[in-house]
Amino acid sequence: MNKRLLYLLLSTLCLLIGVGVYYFFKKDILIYESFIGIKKSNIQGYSFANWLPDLCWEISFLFMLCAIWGNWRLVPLSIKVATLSVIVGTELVQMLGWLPGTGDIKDILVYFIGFSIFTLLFLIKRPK
Amino acid sequence: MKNWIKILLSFVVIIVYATMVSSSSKKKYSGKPAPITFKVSNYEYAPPTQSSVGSTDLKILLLEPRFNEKFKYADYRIFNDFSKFMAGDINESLTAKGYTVRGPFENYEGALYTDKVESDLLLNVQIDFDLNDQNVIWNGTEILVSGKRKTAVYNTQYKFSGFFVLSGKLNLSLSEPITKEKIWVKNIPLKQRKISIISSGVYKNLRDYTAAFEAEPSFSNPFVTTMQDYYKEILDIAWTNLDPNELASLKKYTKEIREKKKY
Repeated sequence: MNKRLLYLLLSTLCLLIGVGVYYFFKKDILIYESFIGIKKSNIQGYSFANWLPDLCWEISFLFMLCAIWGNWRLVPLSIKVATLSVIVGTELVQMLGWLPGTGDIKDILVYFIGFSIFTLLFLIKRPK
Repeated sequence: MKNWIKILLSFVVIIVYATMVSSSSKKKYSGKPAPITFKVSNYEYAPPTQSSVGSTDLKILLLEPRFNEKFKYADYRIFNDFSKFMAGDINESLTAKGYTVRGPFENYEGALYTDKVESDLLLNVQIDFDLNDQNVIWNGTEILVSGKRKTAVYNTQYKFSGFFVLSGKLNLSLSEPITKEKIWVKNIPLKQRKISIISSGVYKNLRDYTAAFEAEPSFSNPFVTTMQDYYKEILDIAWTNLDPNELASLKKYTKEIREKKKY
């Protein structure tokens, strides 16, 4: 299969998993859910629903960049730095209250772990 | 793909990502929404025409309308008020038609013997409602109350959503007041109504709406609106069907029954 298409599919899959976790396991109605008109009546919220969708979306984001550049290794360093800055930055901006949401140091940790594992996987598996 | 297109697409993806993350936070409500209050039932009926008092030579012993025995919600305030108000307005309608009315009495035993003897007909109004909750979906969740693993104790909490379907008949019957022998019966079907409810409460007992009726205005208010519609419909039916020309002809049967029974 074309690698770009594979990355695109993986990106979509990760995005959908994140959306699904938010829908089925998060008690609160989120801004985008309210905007789309999604209704849910979850009585209980689960703690993993606070970080797992974020991780899924981060991976989805990274796969999307892979789809654009052909491989993570081919993504310029400046874009990688910008990517990490945006990922961590959104959390920091939330902490400062400039963006809606709750900034959490644990989330930043999860982002770093996700980003590192993703980069390492591509370092191990060199493109042919 | 050219490099500048890749860079441009990368920035688009970064912007989309940032938007998604910021929109995945809990929805904030601008300002506190005004609390929904309980709607007070406003059951009103004005008879379409007014005849002079006693113009129809017929004395009617009136009992308060009651729900059929199978209707388990009869004691809820919304329904209880409905039958109480209806007793007064049926009385008013009968008087407006020119009948002389004795009552309304809460039940047959509440009427004095003289009331029964001096009346020509006994009017019974039964509201035969059927409240169907098949379309109200209940979702239960196990909540840990105490303990862990093997000693864990769980309670089930329920939420529900959907709609009720209210339908039924209005049963009107006229009897000889002393023997209660039926002379005239009419069962008129009522229009079916859908009652969409909104509930945010959590309940312990499956398919028990008592607490929701008492605690949630968003649950009980749609019932009030529907019952107000039914009120007018039922009184219009009663007005049309309790026609003096038809009822006057029944007086002779009362006499016949009394002669037979030697009253």
